[in-house]
Amino acid sequence: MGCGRTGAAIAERLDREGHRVTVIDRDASRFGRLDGGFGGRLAAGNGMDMEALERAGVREADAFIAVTQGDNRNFFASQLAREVYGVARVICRVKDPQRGEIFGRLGIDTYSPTSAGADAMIAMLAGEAPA
Amino acid sequence: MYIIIAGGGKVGYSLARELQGGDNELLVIERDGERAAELGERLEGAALRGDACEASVLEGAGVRRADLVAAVTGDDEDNLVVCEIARHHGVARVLARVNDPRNALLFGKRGIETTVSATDAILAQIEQELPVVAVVPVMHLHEGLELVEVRLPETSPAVGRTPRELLLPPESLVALIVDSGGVPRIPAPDTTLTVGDALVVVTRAESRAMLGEALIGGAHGFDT
Amino acid sequence: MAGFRSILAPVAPGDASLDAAALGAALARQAGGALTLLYVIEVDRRLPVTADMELEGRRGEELLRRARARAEAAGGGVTIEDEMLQARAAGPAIVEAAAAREADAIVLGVAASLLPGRFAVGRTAEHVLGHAPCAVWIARAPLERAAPAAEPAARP
Repeated sequence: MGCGRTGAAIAERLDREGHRVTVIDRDASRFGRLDGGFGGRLAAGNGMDMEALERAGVREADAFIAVTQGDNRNFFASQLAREVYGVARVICRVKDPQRGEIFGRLGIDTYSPTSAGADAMIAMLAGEAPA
Repeated sequence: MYIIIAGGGKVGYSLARELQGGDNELLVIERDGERAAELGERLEGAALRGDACEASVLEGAGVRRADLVAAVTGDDEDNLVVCEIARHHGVARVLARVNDPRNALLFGKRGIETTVSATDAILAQIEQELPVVAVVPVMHLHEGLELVEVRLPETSPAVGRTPRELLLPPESLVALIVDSGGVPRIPAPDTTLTVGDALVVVTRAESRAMLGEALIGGAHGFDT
Repeated sequence: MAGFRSILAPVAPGDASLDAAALGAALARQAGGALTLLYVIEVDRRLPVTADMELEGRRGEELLRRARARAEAAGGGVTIEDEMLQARAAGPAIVEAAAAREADAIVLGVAASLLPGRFAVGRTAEHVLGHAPCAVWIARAPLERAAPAAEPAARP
Protein backbone atom coordinates (compact mmCIF):
# COMPACT_ATOMS: atom_id res chain seq x y z
CA MET A 1 0.00 0.00 0.00
CA GLY A 2 1.50 3.29 -1.19
CA CYS A 3 3.35 3.51 -4.49
CA GLY A 4 6.01 6.01 -3.48
CA ARG A 5 9.71 5.37 -3.96
CA THR A 6 9.86 2.81 -1.17
CA GLY A 7 6.62 1.11 -2.13
CA ALA A 8 7.65 0.85 -5.77
CA ALA A 9 11.09 -0.52 -4.88
CA ILE A 10 9.61 -3.16 -2.57
CA ALA A 11 7.04 -4.17 -5.17
CA GLU A 12 9.60 -4.51 -7.95
CA ARG A 13 11.94 -6.60 -5.88
CA LEU A 14 9.33 -8.96 -4.54
CA ASP A 15 7.94 -9.31 -8.05
CA ARG A 16 11.37 -10.22 -9.40
CA GLU A 17 11.75 -12.79 -6.65
CA GLY A 18 8.64 -14.48 -7.96
CA HIS A 19 6.00 -13.37 -5.47
CA ARG A 20 2.52 -12.37 -6.54
CA VAL A 21 2.43 -8.66 -5.78
CA THR A 22 -0.43 -6.14 -5.84
CA VAL A 23 0.27 -2.44 -5.40
CA ILE A 24 -2.54 -0.25 -4.08
CA ASP A 25 -2.43 3.53 -4.23
CA ARG A 26 -5.21 6.10 -4.24
CA ASP A 27 -3.39 8.07 -6.92
CA ALA A 28 -3.12 5.86 -10.03
CA SER A 29 -0.61 8.22 -11.66
CA ARG A 30 1.95 7.03 -9.15
CA PHE A 31 2.00 3.58 -10.68
CA GLY A 32 4.25 5.23 -13.29
CA ARG A 33 7.05 4.87 -10.73
CA LEU A 34 7.14 1.11 -11.31
CA ASP A 35 9.51 -0.04 -14.01
CA GLY A 36 8.17 -1.50 -17.25
CA GLY A 37 9.04 -5.05 -16.25
CA PHE A 38 6.78 -5.08 -13.20
CA GLY A 39 4.49 -8.09 -13.56
CA GLY A 40 2.23 -7.58 -10.55
CA ARG A 41 -1.26 -6.13 -10.27
CA LEU A 42 -2.15 -2.48 -9.86
CA ALA A 43 -5.15 -1.48 -7.78
CA ALA A 44 -6.20 2.16 -7.67
CA GLY A 45 -7.94 2.88 -4.38
CA ASN A 46 -7.64 3.96 -0.80
CA GLY A 47 -5.96 1.30 1.31
CA MET A 48 -8.01 2.38 4.30
CA ASP A 49 -11.18 1.47 2.48
CA MET A 50 -12.23 -2.12 3.04
CA GLU A 51 -13.83 -2.45 -0.39
CA ALA A 52 -10.68 -1.24 -2.09
CA LEU A 53 -8.58 -3.65 -0.03
CA GLU A 54 -10.88 -6.52 -0.96
CA ARG A 55 -10.71 -5.61 -4.63
CA ALA A 56 -6.94 -5.69 -4.30
CA GLY A 57 -7.22 -9.22 -2.95
CA VAL A 58 -6.42 -8.71 0.72
CA ARG A 59 -8.35 -11.87 1.62
CA GLU A 60 -5.81 -14.04 -0.19
CA ALA A 61 -2.74 -12.10 0.92
CA ASP A 62 0.01 -13.68 3.02
CA ALA A 63 1.66 -10.35 3.72
CA PHE A 64 0.68 -6.68 3.79
CA ILE A 65 3.12 -3.78 3.74
CA ALA A 66 1.95 -0.19 4.37
CA VAL A 67 4.34 2.51 3.18
CA THR A 68 2.26 5.62 2.44
CA GLN A 69 3.43 9.02 3.68
CA GLY A 70 0.97 8.96 6.59
CA ASP A 71 1.90 7.11 9.78
CA ASN A 72 -1.69 6.93 10.91
CA ARG A 73 -2.95 5.75 7.53
CA ASN A 74 -0.32 3.03 7.49
CA PHE A 75 -1.30 1.93 10.97
CA PHE A 76 -5.00 1.99 10.23
CA ALA A 77 -4.63 -0.07 7.06
CA SER A 78 -2.27 -2.49 8.82
CA GLN A 79 -4.80 -3.02 11.57
CA LEU A 80 -7.49 -3.66 8.97
CA ALA A 81 -5.27 -6.24 7.27
CA ARG A 82 -4.47 -7.96 10.53
CA GLU A 83 -7.65 -7.69 12.57
CA VAL A 84 -10.32 -7.82 9.88
CA TYR A 85 -8.65 -9.93 7.17
CA GLY A 86 -6.26 -12.01 9.24
CA VAL A 87 -3.21 -11.35 7.06
CA ALA A 88 -0.34 -13.31 8.61
CA ARG A 89 2.51 -10.85 8.10
CA VAL A 90 1.84 -7.14 8.41
CA ILE A 91 4.59 -4.55 8.20
CA CYS A 92 3.94 -0.87 8.77
CA ARG A 93 6.20 2.09 8.16
CA VAL A 94 5.97 4.71 10.91
CA LYS A 95 8.17 7.79 10.72
CA ASP A 96 7.49 8.94 14.28
CA PRO A 97 9.61 6.59 16.43
CA GLN A 98 7.48 7.13 19.55
CA ARG A 99 4.35 6.17 17.71
CA GLY A 100 6.17 3.27 16.07
CA GLU A 101 7.15 1.84 19.42
CA ILE A 102 3.58 1.88 20.66
CA PHE A 103 2.27 0.31 17.45
CA GLY A 104 4.96 -2.34 17.74
CA ARG A 105 3.68 -3.32 21.16
CA LEU A 106 0.25 -3.74 19.65
CA GLY A 107 1.55 -6.58 17.53
CA ILE A 108 2.24 -4.73 14.30
CA ASP A 109 5.76 -5.02 12.91
CA THR A 110 6.84 -1.44 12.48
CA TYR A 111 9.79 0.05 10.72
CA SER A 112 10.86 3.57 11.56
CA PRO A 113 13.02 5.15 8.83
CA THR A 114 13.80 7.96 11.27
CA SER A 115 15.33 5.72 13.91
CA ALA A 116 16.95 3.44 11.34
CA GLY A 117 18.48 6.43 9.54
CA ALA A 118 19.79 7.90 12.76
CA ASP A 119 21.27 4.54 13.80
CA ALA A 120 22.94 4.07 10.43
CA MET A 121 24.50 7.51 10.43
CA ILE A 122 25.75 7.17 13.97
CA ALA A 123 27.28 3.84 12.99
CA MET A 124 28.97 5.46 9.99
CA LEU A 125 30.32 8.16 12.23
CA ALA A 126 31.82 5.51 14.46
CA GLY A 127 33.47 4.00 11.40
CA GLU A 128 31.41 0.84 11.40
CA ALA A 129 29.71 -0.52 8.36
CA PRO A 130 26.01 0.43 8.24
CA ALA A 131 23.80 -2.31 9.61
CA MET B 1 -13.31 13.45 36.10
CA TYR B 2 -10.62 14.47 33.61
CA ILE B 3 -11.71 14.24 30.00
CA ILE B 4 -9.43 14.80 27.02
CA ILE B 5 -11.03 15.48 23.68
CA ALA B 6 -8.83 15.04 20.64
CA GLY B 7 -10.04 17.22 17.77
CA GLY B 8 -11.49 20.68 18.19
CA GLY B 9 -13.84 20.79 15.22
CA LYS B 10 -17.57 21.27 15.54
CA VAL B 11 -18.02 17.93 17.27
CA GLY B 12 -15.15 18.40 19.69
CA TYR B 13 -16.26 21.90 20.55
CA SER B 14 -19.90 21.11 21.20
CA LEU B 15 -18.87 18.11 23.24
CA ALA B 16 -16.55 20.29 25.31
CA ARG B 17 -19.30 22.82 25.85
CA GLU B 18 -21.64 20.12 27.11
CA LEU B 19 -19.09 18.64 29.47
CA GLN B 20 -17.52 21.78 30.85
CA GLY B 21 -18.47 22.82 34.32
CA GLY B 22 -19.25 20.91 37.47
CA ASP B 23 -16.43 18.74 38.70
CA ASN B 24 -15.15 17.95 35.24
CA GLU B 25 -11.77 18.99 34.06
CA LEU B 26 -11.64 19.17 30.34
CA LEU B 27 -9.06 19.66 27.64
CA VAL B 28 -9.47 19.89 23.88
CA ILE B 29 -6.38 19.13 21.81
CA GLU B 30 -6.44 20.77 18.40
CA ARG B 31 -3.79 20.67 15.70
CA ASP B 32 -4.60 23.97 14.02
CA GLY B 33 -3.05 26.89 15.91
CA GLU B 34 -5.70 29.46 15.07
CA ARG B 35 -8.54 27.11 15.90
CA ALA B 36 -6.83 26.12 19.16
CA ALA B 37 -6.54 29.79 20.15
CA GLU B 38 -10.20 30.34 19.34
CA LEU B 39 -11.18 27.30 21.41
CA GLY B 40 -9.05 28.59 24.27
CA GLU B 41 -11.04 31.82 24.25
CA ARG B 42 -14.37 30.03 24.14
CA LEU B 43 -13.55 27.28 26.63
CA GLU B 44 -11.86 29.24 29.40
CA GLY B 45 -8.43 28.15 28.33
CA ALA B 46 -9.23 24.43 28.15
CA ALA B 47 -7.54 24.02 24.79
CA LEU B 48 -4.10 22.86 23.81
CA ARG B 49 -2.46 23.27 20.45
CA GLY B 50 -0.89 20.06 19.26
CA ASP B 51 -1.24 16.79 17.41
CA ALA B 52 -2.92 14.31 19.73
CA CYS B 53 -1.46 11.49 17.64
CA GLU B 54 1.96 12.34 19.02
CA ALA B 55 2.62 10.44 22.19
CA SER B 56 4.48 13.39 23.70
CA VAL B 57 1.53 15.73 23.20
CA LEU B 58 -0.88 13.38 24.95
CA GLU B 59 1.67 12.81 27.66
CA GLY B 60 2.07 16.55 28.21
CA ALA B 61 -1.69 16.89 28.35
CA GLY B 62 -1.67 14.59 31.35
CA VAL B 63 -3.17 11.58 29.59
CA ARG B 64 -2.00 9.29 32.39
CA ARG B 65 -4.47 10.82 34.79
CA ALA B 66 -7.30 11.11 32.26
CA ASP B 67 -10.50 9.20 32.99
CA LEU B 68 -11.75 9.35 29.44
CA VAL B 69 -10.20 10.17 26.08
CA ALA B 70 -12.57 10.88 23.23
CA ALA B 71 -11.07 11.02 19.74
CA VAL B 72 -13.43 13.01 17.55
CA THR B 73 -11.36 14.30 14.65
CA GLY B 74 -12.67 14.02 11.10
CA ASP B 75 -10.17 11.28 10.26
CA ASP B 76 -10.81 7.74 11.42
CA GLU B 77 -7.15 6.75 11.22
CA ASP B 78 -6.22 9.60 13.56
CA ASN B 79 -8.99 8.65 15.96
CA LEU B 80 -7.77 5.06 16.04
CA VAL B 81 -4.21 6.15 16.76
CA VAL B 82 -5.26 8.55 19.54
CA CYS B 83 -7.27 5.79 21.21
CA GLU B 84 -4.44 3.28 20.94
CA ILE B 85 -1.90 5.70 22.39
CA ALA B 86 -4.26 6.70 25.17
CA ARG B 87 -4.83 3.07 26.11
CA HIS B 88 -1.10 2.48 25.98
CA HIS B 89 -0.82 5.18 28.65
CA GLY B 90 -3.35 3.38 30.80
CA VAL B 91 -6.53 5.31 30.05
CA ALA B 92 -9.39 2.98 30.93
CA ARG B 93 -12.05 4.51 28.74
CA VAL B 94 -11.46 5.57 25.20
CA LEU B 95 -14.05 6.43 22.65
CA ALA B 96 -13.78 7.20 18.95
CA ARG B 97 -15.98 8.99 16.50
CA VAL B 98 -16.23 7.03 13.26
CA ASN B 99 -16.66 9.16 10.20
CA ASP B 100 -17.09 6.19 7.89
CA PRO B 101 -19.55 3.80 9.58
CA ARG B 102 -17.88 0.79 7.93
CA ASN B 103 -14.81 1.48 10.05
CA ALA B 104 -16.75 0.69 13.20
CA LEU B 105 -15.82 -2.95 12.51
CA LEU B 106 -12.11 -2.34 13.00
CA PHE B 107 -12.60 -0.22 16.10
CA GLY B 108 -14.80 -2.98 17.48
CA LYS B 109 -12.07 -5.57 16.86
CA ARG B 110 -9.66 -3.35 18.75
CA GLY B 111 -12.13 -3.08 21.61
CA ILE B 112 -12.69 0.63 21.16
CA GLU B 113 -16.17 1.93 21.61
CA THR B 114 -17.32 4.00 18.68
CA THR B 115 -20.06 6.35 17.81
CA VAL B 116 -21.31 8.28 14.85
CA SER B 117 -22.85 10.97 17.04
CA ALA B 118 -20.01 11.50 19.47
CA THR B 119 -21.72 13.94 21.76
CA ASP B 120 -24.61 11.67 22.39
CA ALA B 121 -22.62 8.55 23.07
CA ILE B 122 -19.96 10.18 25.17
CA LEU B 123 -22.57 11.71 27.38
CA ALA B 124 -24.15 8.29 27.71
CA GLN B 125 -20.77 6.77 28.55
CA ILE B 126 -20.05 9.06 31.42
CA GLU B 127 -23.50 9.54 32.76
CA GLN B 128 -23.01 7.02 35.55
CA GLU B 129 -20.58 9.46 37.08
CA LEU B 130 -22.13 12.62 35.81
CA PRO B 131 -25.85 13.15 36.07
CA VAL B 132 -26.12 14.76 32.70
CA VAL B 133 -29.47 16.06 31.67
CA ALA B 134 -28.92 18.16 28.68
CA VAL B 135 -29.97 19.31 25.32
CA VAL B 136 -27.43 17.56 23.15
CA PRO B 137 -26.72 19.01 19.73
CA VAL B 138 -26.64 16.24 17.15
CA MET B 139 -26.33 18.12 13.89
CA HIS B 140 -26.27 21.66 12.59
CA LEU B 141 -28.81 22.25 9.87
CA HIS B 142 -28.77 25.42 7.79
CA GLU B 143 -30.06 28.90 8.67
CA GLY B 144 -29.39 28.59 12.41
CA LEU B 145 -31.49 25.48 12.78
CA GLU B 146 -30.11 22.48 14.56
CA LEU B 147 -31.09 18.98 15.44
CA VAL B 148 -30.85 18.24 19.16
CA GLU B 149 -31.57 15.29 21.35
CA VAL B 150 -33.16 15.47 24.79
CA ARG B 151 -33.72 12.48 27.04
CA LEU B 152 -36.67 13.06 29.33
CA PRO B 153 -35.73 12.81 33.02
CA GLU B 154 -38.21 11.96 35.78
CA THR B 155 -38.61 15.62 36.54
CA SER B 156 -39.56 16.52 32.99
CA PRO B 157 -42.75 18.56 32.67
CA ALA B 158 -43.25 16.82 29.32
CA VAL B 159 -43.77 13.35 30.81
CA GLY B 160 -47.38 12.21 30.51
CA ARG B 161 -48.16 14.69 27.77
CA THR B 162 -48.43 14.42 24.04
CA PRO B 163 -45.99 16.28 21.78
CA ARG B 164 -48.82 18.65 20.81
CA GLU B 165 -49.30 19.75 24.41
CA LEU B 166 -45.69 20.79 24.84
CA LEU B 167 -44.83 24.46 25.05
CA LEU B 168 -41.90 24.43 22.65
CA PRO B 169 -39.96 27.51 21.54
CA PRO B 170 -40.97 28.99 18.18
CA GLU B 171 -39.85 27.11 15.09
CA SER B 172 -39.24 23.95 17.10
CA LEU B 173 -40.57 20.56 16.14
CA VAL B 174 -40.32 17.09 17.66
CA ALA B 175 -39.11 15.03 14.71
CA LEU B 176 -38.59 11.65 16.31
CA ILE B 177 -39.11 9.87 19.62
CA VAL B 178 -36.79 7.02 20.58
CA ASP B 179 -38.10 5.11 23.58
CA SER B 180 -35.86 3.74 26.32
CA GLY B 181 -35.77 0.41 24.47
CA GLY B 182 -34.25 2.11 21.46
CA VAL B 183 -37.34 1.90 19.27
CA PRO B 184 -37.88 5.00 17.12
CA ARG B 185 -41.34 6.38 16.47
CA ILE B 186 -42.69 9.29 14.47
CA PRO B 187 -44.69 11.41 16.96
CA ALA B 188 -48.45 10.89 16.55
CA PRO B 189 -51.23 13.03 18.10
CA ASP B 190 -51.92 10.36 20.73
CA THR B 191 -48.27 9.57 21.60
CA THR B 192 -47.75 9.99 25.33
CA LEU B 193 -44.23 10.84 26.39
CA THR B 194 -42.63 8.78 29.14
CA VAL B 195 -39.49 8.96 31.24
CA GLY B 196 -36.39 7.92 29.29
CA ASP B 197 -37.78 8.83 25.90
CA ALA B 198 -35.20 10.53 23.74
CA LEU B 199 -36.74 13.32 21.71
CA VAL B 200 -35.00 14.40 18.55
CA VAL B 201 -36.04 18.00 18.04
CA VAL B 202 -35.44 20.54 15.31
CA THR B 203 -34.97 23.93 16.92
CA ARG B 204 -33.13 27.20 16.58
CA ALA B 205 -29.70 27.29 18.17
CA GLU B 206 -30.65 30.23 20.40
CA SER B 207 -33.69 28.38 21.73
CA ARG B 208 -31.77 25.57 23.38
CA ALA B 209 -32.21 26.88 26.91
CA MET B 210 -35.93 27.44 26.39
CA LEU B 211 -36.28 23.97 24.93
CA GLY B 212 -34.48 22.58 27.96
CA GLU B 213 -36.98 24.25 30.27
CA ALA B 214 -39.87 22.73 28.35
CA LEU B 215 -38.45 19.22 28.19
CA ILE B 216 -36.19 18.88 31.21
CA GLY B 217 -37.65 21.38 33.63
CA GLY B 218 -36.45 24.56 35.27
CA ALA B 219 -34.66 22.82 38.13
CA HIS B 220 -31.77 21.89 35.89
CA GLY B 221 -29.32 24.63 35.14
CA PHE B 222 -27.77 25.17 31.78
CA ASP B 223 -24.25 26.29 32.04
CA THR B 224 -23.69 26.20 28.34
CA MET C 1 -7.53 59.18 35.80
CA ALA C 2 -9.75 58.76 38.83
CA GLY C 3 -8.11 57.13 41.82
CA PHE C 4 -6.85 53.62 41.54
CA ARG C 5 -8.10 52.46 44.89
CA SER C 6 -7.53 48.78 44.32
CA ILE C 7 -4.45 47.70 42.47
CA LEU C 8 -3.27 44.25 41.52
CA ALA C 9 0.39 43.64 40.82
CA PRO C 10 1.31 40.14 39.62
CA VAL C 11 4.67 38.90 40.81
CA ALA C 12 7.12 36.90 38.73
CA PRO C 13 10.88 36.38 38.76
CA GLY C 14 12.84 39.39 37.50
CA ASP C 15 13.23 43.06 38.19
CA ALA C 16 10.32 44.20 36.06
CA SER C 17 7.74 42.78 38.43
CA LEU C 18 9.52 44.48 41.36
CA ASP C 19 9.19 47.75 39.45
CA ALA C 20 5.54 46.94 38.89
CA ALA C 21 5.03 46.34 42.62
CA ALA C 22 6.63 49.70 43.40
CA LEU C 23 4.56 51.46 40.76
CA GLY C 24 1.41 49.79 42.01
CA ALA C 25 2.15 50.86 45.58
CA ALA C 26 2.74 54.45 44.50
CA LEU C 27 -0.52 54.53 42.56
CA ALA C 28 -2.43 53.05 45.48
CA ARG C 29 -0.88 55.54 47.85
CA GLN C 30 -2.00 58.44 45.69
CA ALA C 31 -5.60 57.24 45.82
CA GLY C 32 -5.48 56.10 49.43
CA GLY C 33 -6.09 52.59 48.23
CA ALA C 34 -4.64 49.13 48.64
CA LEU C 35 -2.27 46.92 46.71
CA THR C 36 -2.50 43.19 46.20
CA LEU C 37 0.56 41.25 45.16
CA LEU C 38 -0.34 38.05 43.32
CA TYR C 39 1.79 35.06 42.54
CA VAL C 40 0.36 32.43 40.23
CA ILE C 41 1.78 28.91 40.21
CA GLU C 42 1.29 27.46 36.77
CA VAL C 43 0.52 23.78 37.16
CA ASP C 44 1.47 21.42 34.34
CA ARG C 45 -1.44 19.43 32.92
CA ARG C 46 0.24 16.21 34.00
CA LEU C 47 -0.91 17.14 37.50
CA PRO C 48 -4.31 18.16 38.83
CA VAL C 49 -4.50 21.92 39.21
CA THR C 50 -4.88 21.42 42.96
CA ALA C 51 -1.68 19.37 43.25
CA ASP C 52 0.65 20.07 46.14
CA MET C 53 3.31 22.37 44.67
CA GLU C 54 5.58 22.75 47.64
CA LEU C 55 8.75 23.91 45.90
CA GLU C 56 6.93 26.34 43.66
CA GLY C 57 5.06 27.60 46.69
CA ARG C 58 8.27 28.36 48.54
CA ARG C 59 9.63 30.17 45.52
CA GLY C 60 6.39 32.16 45.31
CA GLU C 61 6.64 33.16 48.95
CA GLU C 62 10.17 34.40 48.43
CA LEU C 63 9.19 36.41 45.35
CA LEU C 64 6.19 37.86 47.19
CA ARG C 65 8.44 38.81 50.10
CA ARG C 66 10.84 40.66 47.80
CA ALA C 67 7.99 42.39 45.98
CA ARG C 68 6.44 43.45 49.28
CA ALA C 69 9.71 45.00 50.41
CA ARG C 70 9.88 47.08 47.21
CA ALA C 71 6.21 48.02 47.46
CA GLU C 72 6.51 49.07 51.10
CA ALA C 73 9.46 51.28 50.26
CA ALA C 74 7.47 52.97 47.49
CA GLY C 75 4.04 52.99 49.05
CA GLY C 76 4.71 54.53 52.46
CA GLY C 77 2.04 52.92 54.63
CA VAL C 78 -0.26 51.72 51.88
CA THR C 79 -2.11 48.49 52.70
CA ILE C 80 -0.44 45.54 50.98
CA GLU C 81 -1.89 42.08 50.75
CA ASP C 82 -0.47 39.10 49.05
CA GLU C 83 -2.01 36.09 47.45
CA MET C 84 -0.82 32.92 45.84
CA LEU C 85 -2.93 30.65 43.67
CA GLN C 86 -2.59 27.72 41.31
CA ALA C 87 -3.82 27.75 37.74
CA ARG C 88 -3.06 26.26 34.32
CA ALA C 89 -1.98 29.64 32.97
CA ALA C 90 -1.10 32.88 34.73
CA GLY C 91 -2.95 35.21 32.34
CA PRO C 92 -6.51 34.02 32.93
CA ALA C 93 -5.81 33.63 36.66
CA ILE C 94 -4.66 37.26 36.90
CA VAL C 95 -7.72 38.49 35.03
CA GLU C 96 -9.99 36.43 37.24
CA ALA C 97 -8.33 37.68 40.42
CA ALA C 98 -8.66 41.28 39.21
CA ALA C 99 -12.35 40.77 38.50
CA ALA C 100 -12.95 39.05 41.85
CA ARG C 101 -11.31 41.92 43.76
CA GLU C 102 -12.88 44.54 41.55
CA ALA C 103 -9.42 45.91 40.96
CA ASP C 104 -9.20 49.32 39.29
CA ALA C 105 -5.90 48.49 37.68
CA ILE C 106 -3.42 45.73 37.06
CA VAL C 107 0.23 46.73 36.99
CA LEU C 108 2.25 44.17 35.13
CA GLY C 109 5.99 44.03 34.74
CA VAL C 110 7.41 42.79 31.47
CA ALA C 111 11.01 42.18 30.51
CA ALA C 112 12.58 44.24 27.77
CA SER C 113 13.36 42.38 24.60
CA LEU C 114 16.87 41.19 24.05
CA LEU C 115 16.56 42.25 20.44
CA PRO C 116 16.48 46.06 20.25
CA GLY C 117 13.65 47.27 18.06
CA ARG C 118 11.69 44.11 18.56
CA PHE C 119 9.22 43.57 21.33
CA ALA C 120 7.00 40.65 22.06
CA VAL C 121 4.85 41.15 25.10
CA GLY C 122 4.65 37.49 26.17
CA ARG C 123 1.59 35.30 26.54
CA THR C 124 0.67 36.34 30.08
CA ALA C 125 0.76 40.07 29.36
CA GLU C 126 -0.97 39.51 26.05
CA HIS C 127 -3.82 37.69 27.74
CA VAL C 128 -4.14 40.30 30.47
CA LEU C 129 -4.13 43.17 27.95
CA GLY C 130 -6.75 41.40 25.90
CA HIS C 131 -9.08 40.36 28.70
CA ALA C 132 -8.72 42.43 31.88
CA PRO C 133 -11.91 44.30 32.75
CA CYS C 134 -9.92 47.09 34.45
CA ALA C 135 -7.06 49.38 33.44
CA VAL C 136 -3.73 47.70 32.72
CA TRP C 137 -0.38 49.36 33.26
CA ILE C 138 2.70 47.79 31.79
CA ALA C 139 6.03 48.40 33.47
CA ARG C 140 8.86 47.49 31.14
CA ALA C 141 12.34 47.11 32.55
CA PRO C 142 14.89 49.57 31.16
CA LEU C 143 16.87 48.25 28.21
CA GLU C 144 20.24 48.31 29.95
CA ARG C 145 18.87 45.93 32.55
CA ALA C 146 17.83 43.49 29.90
CA ALA C 147 21.28 42.02 29.64
CA PRO C 148 21.24 38.33 28.69
CA ALA C 149 22.00 37.40 32.30
CA ALA C 150 18.72 38.88 33.58
CA GLU C 151 15.86 36.51 34.09
CA PRO C 152 12.79 37.32 32.03
CA ALA C 153 10.23 39.07 34.22
CA ALA C 154 7.05 37.91 32.60
CA ARG C 155 6.57 34.31 31.67
CA PRO C 156 7.34 33.70 28.01
